[in-house]
Amino acid sequence: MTKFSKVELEKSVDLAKKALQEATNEWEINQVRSKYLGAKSPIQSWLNDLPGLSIEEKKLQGPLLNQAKKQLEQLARERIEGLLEEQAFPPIDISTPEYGQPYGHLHPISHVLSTVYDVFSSLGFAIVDGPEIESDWYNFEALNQPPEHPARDMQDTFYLKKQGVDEPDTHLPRTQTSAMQVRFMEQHEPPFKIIVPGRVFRNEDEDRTHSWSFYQIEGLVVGENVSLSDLKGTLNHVMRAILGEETKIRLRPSFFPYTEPSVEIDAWYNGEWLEMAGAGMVHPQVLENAGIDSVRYSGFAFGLGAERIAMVKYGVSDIRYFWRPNFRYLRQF
Amino acid sequence: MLIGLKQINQYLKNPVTIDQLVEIFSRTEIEVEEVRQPIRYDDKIITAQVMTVEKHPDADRLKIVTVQIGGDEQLEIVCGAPNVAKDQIVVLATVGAVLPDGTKITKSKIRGIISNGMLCSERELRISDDHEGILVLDPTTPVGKKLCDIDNNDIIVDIKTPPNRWDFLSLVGVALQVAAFDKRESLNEVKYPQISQKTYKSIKNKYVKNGEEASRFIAVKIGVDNAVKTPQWIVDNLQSSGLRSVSPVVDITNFVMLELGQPTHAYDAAKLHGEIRLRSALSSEKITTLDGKERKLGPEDLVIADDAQVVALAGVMGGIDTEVSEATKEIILEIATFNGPRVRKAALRHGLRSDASARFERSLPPHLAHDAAARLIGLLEECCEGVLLSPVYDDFVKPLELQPVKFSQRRAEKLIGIELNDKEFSAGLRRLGFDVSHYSLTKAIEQAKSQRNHESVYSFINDVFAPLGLSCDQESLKQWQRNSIDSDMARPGDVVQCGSSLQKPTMLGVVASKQKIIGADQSGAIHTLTLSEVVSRPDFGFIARPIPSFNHIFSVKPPWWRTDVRLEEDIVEEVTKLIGYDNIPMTLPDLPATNTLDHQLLPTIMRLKHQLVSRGLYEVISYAFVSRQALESVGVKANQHLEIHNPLTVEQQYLRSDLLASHLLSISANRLNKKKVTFFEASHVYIPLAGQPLPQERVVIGVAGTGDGSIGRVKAALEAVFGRAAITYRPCQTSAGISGRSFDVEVGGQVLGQLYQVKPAVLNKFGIKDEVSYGAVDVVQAMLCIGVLEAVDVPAYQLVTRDVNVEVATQVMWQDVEVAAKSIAHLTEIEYLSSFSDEALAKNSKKRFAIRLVFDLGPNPTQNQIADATKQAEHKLAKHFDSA
Repeated sequence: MTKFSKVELEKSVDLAKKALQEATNEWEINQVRSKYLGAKSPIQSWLNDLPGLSIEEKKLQGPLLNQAKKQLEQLARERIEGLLEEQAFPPIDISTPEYGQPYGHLHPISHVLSTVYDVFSSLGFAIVDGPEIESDWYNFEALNQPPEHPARDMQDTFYLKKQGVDEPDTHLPRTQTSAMQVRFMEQHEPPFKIIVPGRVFRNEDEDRTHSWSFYQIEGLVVGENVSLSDLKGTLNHVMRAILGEETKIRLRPSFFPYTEPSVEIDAWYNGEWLEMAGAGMVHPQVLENAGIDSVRYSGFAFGLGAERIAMVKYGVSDIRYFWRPNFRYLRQF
Repeated sequence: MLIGLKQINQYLKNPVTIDQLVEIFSRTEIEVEEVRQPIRYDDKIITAQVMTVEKHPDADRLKIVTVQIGGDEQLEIVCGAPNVAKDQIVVLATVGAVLPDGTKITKSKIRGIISNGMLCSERELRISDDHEGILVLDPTTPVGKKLCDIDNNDIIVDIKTPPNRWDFLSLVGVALQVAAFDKRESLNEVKYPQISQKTYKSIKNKYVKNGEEASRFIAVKIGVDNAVKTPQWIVDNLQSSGLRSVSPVVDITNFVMLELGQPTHAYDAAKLHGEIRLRSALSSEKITTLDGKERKLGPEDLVIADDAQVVALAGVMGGIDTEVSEATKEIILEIATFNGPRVRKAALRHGLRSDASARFERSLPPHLAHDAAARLIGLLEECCEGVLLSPVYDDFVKPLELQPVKFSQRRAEKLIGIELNDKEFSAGLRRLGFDVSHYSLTKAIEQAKSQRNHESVYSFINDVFAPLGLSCDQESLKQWQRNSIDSDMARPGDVVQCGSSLQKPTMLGVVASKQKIIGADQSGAIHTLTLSEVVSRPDFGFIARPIPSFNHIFSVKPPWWRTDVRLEEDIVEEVTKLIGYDNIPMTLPDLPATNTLDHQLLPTIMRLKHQLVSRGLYEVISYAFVSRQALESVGVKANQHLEIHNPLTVEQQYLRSDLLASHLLSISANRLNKKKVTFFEASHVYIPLAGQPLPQERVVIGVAGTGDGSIGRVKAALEAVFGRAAITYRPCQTSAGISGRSFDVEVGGQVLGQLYQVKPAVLNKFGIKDEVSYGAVDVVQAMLCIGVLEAVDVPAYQLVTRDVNVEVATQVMWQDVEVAAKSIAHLTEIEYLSSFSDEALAKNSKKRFAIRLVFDLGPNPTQNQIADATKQAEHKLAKHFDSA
């Protein structure tokens, strides 16, 4: 045990101060602290001695020791705060992919469908799935296209092979999502608003703008006072939501066996009119085929092409990009 | 169809410009595919006559041609065309001329001989793609004239028309539409071609057995001079529609087809054996059609035959044996209304879609045959000295009566969403040829009462409603009975039926006014009764309301050419077009929302897609049809799949029942070279069901991963799909034995998916060298087990964690530890830290899991409590896995 000396104390404080100033990190500061203020430090041992001293000595040493301790504690704290404040970060190349996680890519058709679902959901439409393999009845006959009807030429059809025989079956990969119209109406009471997105199949050669397999979005609305103006208003809303607020639409007379009147919907996009949908008021015979009273109820239906929308919206040059998975191409989406 | 502006204008009182025409078409179903401006040929492109043709001394294929270009002027041209011959009138691009494609003709030396221009092919003149030889003009073409002065140069519009409008495949039909939709101040009109309204000698069933194969058949023998020149205006018309002039008789039949839409056929009478008739072919018969092809016939084919052979495939094409030629002196003309579907079927079967079959398949009205016959005879008389050598036979089996149609202004307004003006729509419909009149129930009843020919109980009521196209028979009674109304509600126009059976009504009447009913009894006699009298009759049946309202009801009768108009909605469409779609307002349907919980599959799949993509997966979409080879390569049998009867290629012949083959094809096509890619597709797959016509369609998400650690990435993706559902992986074998590390993915004991690493032997068949894993989930099933989330409170105090080791048999899976931990007291969570094995452990078929245990021992547990809990947990786990 060393006897208290004011000179020793001052020396110790100076040394501690210097060491604290020189310390470059929190660990070193704590080392300095324990060296000069820790259990085995002279200051602590002098403090430990205090109780055994006379009142005069206590009065002399006590404040000096406490002040020195407080001063050093304070300095240590300040140094730590100062160091944290000044702490420098090592440089980083944040642009490398090691920081981050791999990026996934939604298919462009799904980008379109995602928007389509949102728009129609917000209008209160249900999004309905239907079978992709259909009977001739639902795909054609119930939609006013009996066999030998020239309108069947508008859609070249794949037929399934009859099991065990080399003959076409009466079942087929649907050529249009409209095939779901009568099926849905048989099972649901009006009023309803639905879209039926899904794959359709046509026996056609492929080129840049035609694919034998593609996605359609069928729309069907049936209720007591459904009108052509509702059809126009709905598609105007939808086309603007999909292609942007600048878009406008026009209706042109057309023919489909299952709608009357029938129209083509063009959208004005990037300075030109583009054919975007076929539509019309549901033919009364189609309603009747589904057991719906065509005097009381009316409805409209439309068919949009998802690939068509994606091609227009994203500037896709060849429809086959959608159907032949190419990761380098899909990476863009 | 190609039509020329001049062609249309020849039928219009007030000609239209091309812009007006296109604008009018845009308000009708006639769709403009293309407008072809005529080529304005350079003045230096002229007609010339070939004087001499000599071989080029230094080139086998070239010829030296001397042409005369008017007066005495001659030029020497080097020409390579095989068809150039002396005396031909040809087109010469002289030195300095610019061809339609911009090529400038210069004086050039070809193999030492100077050529003063170029003789042009059709391709060089942009007439067609023909580049086989040079264009040879009609021998009467004047020589030395500018081509642009003698060219027809009509503006050609290529139009697409709907299959329900036969009339749009005729110039007159299109002109009628244009005139009706012409909005210019003075109303436009059509100059219908001059047609004599003579009736022909009618003979029953000489040509047609019943109306099924043809509803009308007109035939006549005519003497002609087929060696004369066809009038230029007819040639121009043919040319505008893309047809070539052949001979006057052929040209005139073609022109009448273009003008009126009725295809007809002329046979060389001298080449026929006996009379012609319409019949089905025998399976032994053949015909060589005008295009030179021999066609085997069958009983499905409708043919025209003489006593010796088949002379035409009815409505499709004539036979070459009876073709008219320049020498033809007498012809038999056939003008028939063949059954549309039968013609269409034959054309499809023989792969022969002719201009004629395209028209017949739209089902022509029999009235047209008369006009076409009269027009033909008139033109033959006018143009090639036609003389009738026989009466005109007209076998008119089945007249077509177009029924009037009810048009309710109020219903139309509701359907269109706009208020209508009856004067305007009536005038518009009349311009289209419709007969429009306001329907008054009182007048209709009065008129029906005054009819004398009432014979049955139906006659009176049918007369009352005939102007509305409504007819009453047993079928309609049945329907009305289903929607019958209370007698208190009866109002004028309602139908009243008496009679105990629907088959035999004793009285059918109409409510004429309050309390007054006018009806007919079984003899057709008309009676006036009161409502109460009728209702109290013992045989009173029901009162029904076939027409909801008589307010603003019109009777609209279509003109004979509008065979497409059958329904009120057809009239609504005409009225809407007359208003113009641009003038229809825009509203949203005033209906409640339908997007309830019933239809969550597709939105759920979309949400899953977003989740998978955010985890770094690619989404792909691929064809649902695959090849036999691809299926067999993944170890499944093609014959257990649905097969396409008429596939485009063998690559797309079978409907996939799983996505593995498609995914392997994608990996193969992308040559990934060890790249780690994980991707998925959400798609229907098709599982044939024995004895069922429709397959089971399952909606699956199939995930594939390539490169090191692929199975882990695929597993992580599947877990994203299942969300919170508790999955168990059950080691298994794939049925086809194509995999290692195979697991069934189970939820609640039910297998909902599969996960495995594909064997290199399988990958090799696809040329894939990388590692590939695959997993698939049935989305509908997976959705069912994603339960409702129930949140549990968590303590505010700190939970205690302790790390321990558990030794287990090698085959024990982590999921087993998780299950075992569930029954341990105070243990709220266990965390996987690592698994470990060394030689010693492996020798005993053991491995070790390092586990972090999380205990809930209340606030401030003592060290003893913690030690006890840990020890107990370790003990229980050890005991469970039998390693103590």
